[in-house]
Amino acid sequence: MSNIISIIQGLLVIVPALISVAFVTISERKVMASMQRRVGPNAVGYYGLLQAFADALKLLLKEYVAPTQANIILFFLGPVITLIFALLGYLVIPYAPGTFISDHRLGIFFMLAVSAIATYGILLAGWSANSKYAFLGSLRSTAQLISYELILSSVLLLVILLTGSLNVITIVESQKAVSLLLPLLPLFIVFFIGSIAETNRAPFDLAEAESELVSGFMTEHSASIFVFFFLAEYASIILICILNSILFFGGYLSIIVFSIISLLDLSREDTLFHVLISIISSSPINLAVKTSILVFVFIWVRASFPRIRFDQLMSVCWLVLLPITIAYVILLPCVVSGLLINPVNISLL
Amino acid sequence: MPQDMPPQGGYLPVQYKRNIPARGFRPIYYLIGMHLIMGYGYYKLFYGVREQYELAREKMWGRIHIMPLLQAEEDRDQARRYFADKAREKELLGTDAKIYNSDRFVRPTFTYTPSKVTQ
Repeated sequence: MSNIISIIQGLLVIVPALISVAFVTISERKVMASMQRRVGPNAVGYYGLLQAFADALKLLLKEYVAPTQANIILFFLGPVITLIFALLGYLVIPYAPGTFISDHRLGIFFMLAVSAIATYGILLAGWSANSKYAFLGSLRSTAQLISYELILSSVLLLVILLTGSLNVITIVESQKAVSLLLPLLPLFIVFFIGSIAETNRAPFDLAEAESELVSGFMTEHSASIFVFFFLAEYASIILICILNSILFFGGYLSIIVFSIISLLDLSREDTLFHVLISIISSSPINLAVKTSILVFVFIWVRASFPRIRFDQLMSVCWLVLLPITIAYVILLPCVVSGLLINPVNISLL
Repeated sequence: MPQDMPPQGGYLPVQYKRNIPARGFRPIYYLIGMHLIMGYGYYKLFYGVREQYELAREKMWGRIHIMPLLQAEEDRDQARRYFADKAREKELLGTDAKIYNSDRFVRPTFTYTPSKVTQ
């Protein structure tokens, strides 16, 4: 019985995640179309809303072609690994108080580890396809992911320093006083740039630079295995936007409601009012709105900036972003011990 | 037919530099603004952490004050498990068999816990 319940729990997270992937693709096409003064998809369904499902159906019905000299097992295993590890990250996300699959003590660490393993899928898929474009694409992608993961993990280190926990829920709850965006503003910018690069999005989409590498590591992948890559890519975009909003915007906590409470000094005399406030101030809708705004910014960035060269990509990572982050890694412990704001030992709360 | 050649004296130099007017504030103002925001953030964070300390202190003192009650509850639970264990042994063995070769009370080193333990 408990097995069935845990399967249902998993489906309750995975199915909406995959459906949201479909709607993120359609919203991306619509937003980019309106930024480029086009109409975008508008034929399938109302306002073109079902375009993504039509595309998926087409891809699933297509015949798949595997290159003759390809290593077939790894060729098919690569996309599967990428998708599974992109979806595993959803395991530790708190959507609302008490609404999560796993309240893991090392939740953030788990997310980082899982997103690191997803790199192997890309590497295997690109190598096994036995194509120059796919191989070069996977090499570029791996180099990029490994470099930018360093930035993400360094910024995470500072968030952990301020919140005193690796647990995602504790990180969210400790932002009741102030969302970490304000004290860590430059680091949020660094983290956001890092997350764009980590998801292989424009302007850092060197791994699939069409003019140079056809379609990068997924050049030879077609039909349903291409769907796997596609789902993994967009699932990781949503995941990293959720991670951004959890780390810097207070996750499911409503910043606006909390600031109104603190500004007006609303005491908790009225029970019903208090209940209402607590429902509004920590509901999954807050997380959804924050994540949607960040996904929109991802699309906005893609529509606005030209793709940079690979050496520029690497030098931005190693010579600009990493020194800034390391400087903060040195500075912030001094600030914390200077202001005496060491976070409370979690076992006391 | 004569071939298309560049004009006499070559083409004019291409102007690569774009003279776009600078928009927005000067960078220093952005830097100052960012630090003001960060300062406000640390101000709020300071009082937030102070409140956390207060909550932790309150909880710890709450625990300390009800410690006798918690201890009594644990002792009662221990006794209940001990007698239940004795009864189970008697049912299995038929007699009040002693486990230890001693008349003194030996605190049991193991307990039967419920199958589902909540923290």
